[in-house]
Amino acid sequence: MPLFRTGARSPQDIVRSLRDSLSQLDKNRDNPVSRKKSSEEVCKNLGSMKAILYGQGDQEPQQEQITLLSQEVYNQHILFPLIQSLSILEFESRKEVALIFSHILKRQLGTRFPTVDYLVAHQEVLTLLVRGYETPETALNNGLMLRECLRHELLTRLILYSDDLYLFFKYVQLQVFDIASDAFATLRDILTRHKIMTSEFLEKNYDKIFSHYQSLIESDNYVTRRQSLKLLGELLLDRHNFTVMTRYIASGDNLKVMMNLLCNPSRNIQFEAFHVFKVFVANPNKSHPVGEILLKNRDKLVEFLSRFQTDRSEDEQFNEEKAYLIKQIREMKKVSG
Amino acid sequence: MAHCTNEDMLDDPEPLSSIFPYIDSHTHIIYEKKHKYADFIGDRYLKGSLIGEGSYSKVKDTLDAQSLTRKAAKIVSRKKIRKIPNGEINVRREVMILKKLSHTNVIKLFHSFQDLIKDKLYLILEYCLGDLQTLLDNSIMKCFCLWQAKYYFVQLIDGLEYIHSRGIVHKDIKPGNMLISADDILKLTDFGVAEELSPFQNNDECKFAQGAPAFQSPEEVTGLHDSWSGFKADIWSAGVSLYNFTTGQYPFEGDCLYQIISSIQNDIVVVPNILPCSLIDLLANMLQKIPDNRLSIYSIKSHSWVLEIISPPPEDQILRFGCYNKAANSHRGLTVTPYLESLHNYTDGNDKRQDLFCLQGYNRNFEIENDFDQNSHRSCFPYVNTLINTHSVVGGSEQQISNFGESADHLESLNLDLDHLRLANSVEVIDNTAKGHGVKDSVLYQRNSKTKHISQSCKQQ
Repeated sequence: MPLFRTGARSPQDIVRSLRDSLSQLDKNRDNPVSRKKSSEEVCKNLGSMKAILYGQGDQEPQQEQITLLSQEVYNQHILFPLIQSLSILEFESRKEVALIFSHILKRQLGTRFPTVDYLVAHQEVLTLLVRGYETPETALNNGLMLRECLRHELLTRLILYSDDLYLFFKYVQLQVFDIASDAFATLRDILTRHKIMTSEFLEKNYDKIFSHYQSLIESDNYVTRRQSLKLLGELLLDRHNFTVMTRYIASGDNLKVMMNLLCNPSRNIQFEAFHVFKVFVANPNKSHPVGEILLKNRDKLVEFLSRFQTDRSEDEQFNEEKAYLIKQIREMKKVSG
Repeated sequence: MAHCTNEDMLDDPEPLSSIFPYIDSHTHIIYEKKHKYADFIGDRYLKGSLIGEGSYSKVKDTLDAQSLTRKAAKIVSRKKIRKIPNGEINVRREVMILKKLSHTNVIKLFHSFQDLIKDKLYLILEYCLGDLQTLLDNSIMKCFCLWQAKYYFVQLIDGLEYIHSRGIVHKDIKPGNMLISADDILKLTDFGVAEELSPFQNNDECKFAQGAPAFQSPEEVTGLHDSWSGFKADIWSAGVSLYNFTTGQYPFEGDCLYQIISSIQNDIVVVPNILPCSLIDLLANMLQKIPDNRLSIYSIKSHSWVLEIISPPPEDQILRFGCYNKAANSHRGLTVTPYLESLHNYTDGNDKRQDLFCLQGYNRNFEIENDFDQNSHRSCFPYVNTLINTHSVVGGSEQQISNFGESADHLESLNLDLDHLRLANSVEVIDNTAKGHGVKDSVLYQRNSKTKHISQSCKQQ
């Protein structure tokens, strides 16, 4: 009965054996026969770990065993080699690694998360997860684990304030659609999950982050362009980012970018740009450059907006907002004297 | 039976009843099946029976004919809302706000329609089992265990954080406005009195107090302030809700409105000592009379009571919908069935499918398991009651009940004793829970899977 045999091994043995089998696998990666054998060994050890964490068959997981196993995971520093060798593992094993990782990450003692503390002390694991987007075969498994980490404010802060953050602006423009979308979902989590912390970060690093963000909005990749515009609208209209919004909509250059995007051939991009553009116009305290640009283009804008996506007749909110903008722009001269 | 049918007539303003509002007693034959006419909202949502009622609206069970998922339709009679001050504006505002929101802990609005001829507004919303107030009212202790209180409270705070970040002040946070979906997720609802702040307003000042007095903050009830922090007022109401979840009482009570208001302003919050210290601390700080001293969402999220883990209690200490009130349709069987049948000209009374539909109603496996453990004699068919009542509520007839007996006989003739029926039944219910909820699946699929399970248990035997 394999159930009893694996159950008899102590967590310490399992983790040690996993460590050994991983290095074996790494050595034998070019030899198909011994690679298969090492793979099976890794798979067996991962199975035992999973059985301890999630229980097996009718057996409920035992708290003491889980504690012992987690201790061993920290002591033997198994997370780094495990994630590092993700790409040479079998498909099923990769999924098991992700499961084990997220379970250990969720472990809680009172109000503390021991795994989070471990990851804070060993930042190389997080960096490894971020760079995981560079390996197409395992990018999605990596992304899954990375987003689990982002649930914790401490870990998000680490990524936000490290240079790894700027790697995402490259990853979201990758040509492989599913990896780029996954990276975008992660970037979105980083920027929206812990609002107070992010808004503080955006305020402090406004110039750097928005110059990078500008490259997404002007990207040649349609998906990147559309998603980043949508996220921009969301970020600006989040009340936590009030200061950031005020600063963004005071810039005439930003307004010009949006006005150009309103004329983009893609209807969806036009639509997303509209939702950013409206913030500039609705702002009761327009900055001098913004007011000037709007006034200079007043007649053209009114004419343009009256004909803008008129087939969206069912979207009451859109039409109302459009009418409001037209009214605002039309009345601009009176306000400016 | 006659009584039920009468009620049913009132509940269902079908075309038939509006054309023939009066029914002669001669035609009122007890065994006659009342004909149900399939009625679609916006050519897409098939109306079922009434599942809830508000002061100016009705909520009906609905089947989305395109996705075959279950939805709830909130039907607002414009005639009634015209009589309420700001009634129409409030409904309109609710729709506008809901359209902007998208979060797990906020009720999702799928569609909104209006029918000019019937003068009604329709909101198609996520289907939910009921609100927390109902759940609390039907429990013995009138409160949740700490585990469950925290489970819902954390979701409430998540929902509040989201709506606040979108500039929405709810203003009517109370257990009655927290719905529970079939997969046990809290959904904030009723944005009728919510206020949307201008995105260019630098603070969260609100000027109008609306909502339930017992849940209102001191700064709202005094009437001395021209404006106050809307977000902090929502925190206060969330604090009162948490107090209610954990103690079953209200921190500020009184026999009349004046006494409640005076209590809110003057009384010091007394938290029962049996609660853990960290929770007492959290409640005391959420119910600070001065808004500036009150905790913010972020301090709540990092508060030790919120962060620490509570191990879940045994399943029978957790309050669930459908555990109480066995007499009513508490298992929430699909009520669109008779309308579906009418749509497809289904007449054959011997078909088993009605019973099978009714059996889909269970949403939690433990209800049945508990029933079997504790009272195996009476509740081998815990759904018998439900079945009778489902049908009497939806205007069914004796025929279906006898039908059910037949189907049981039929199963017995297949050498399936009751244990097997039970097995088949619970297997199916577990399936339902695993998928989030049975209603999400197509009706046809459920029917097949049901038959499949029975045949599987035959094989096992």
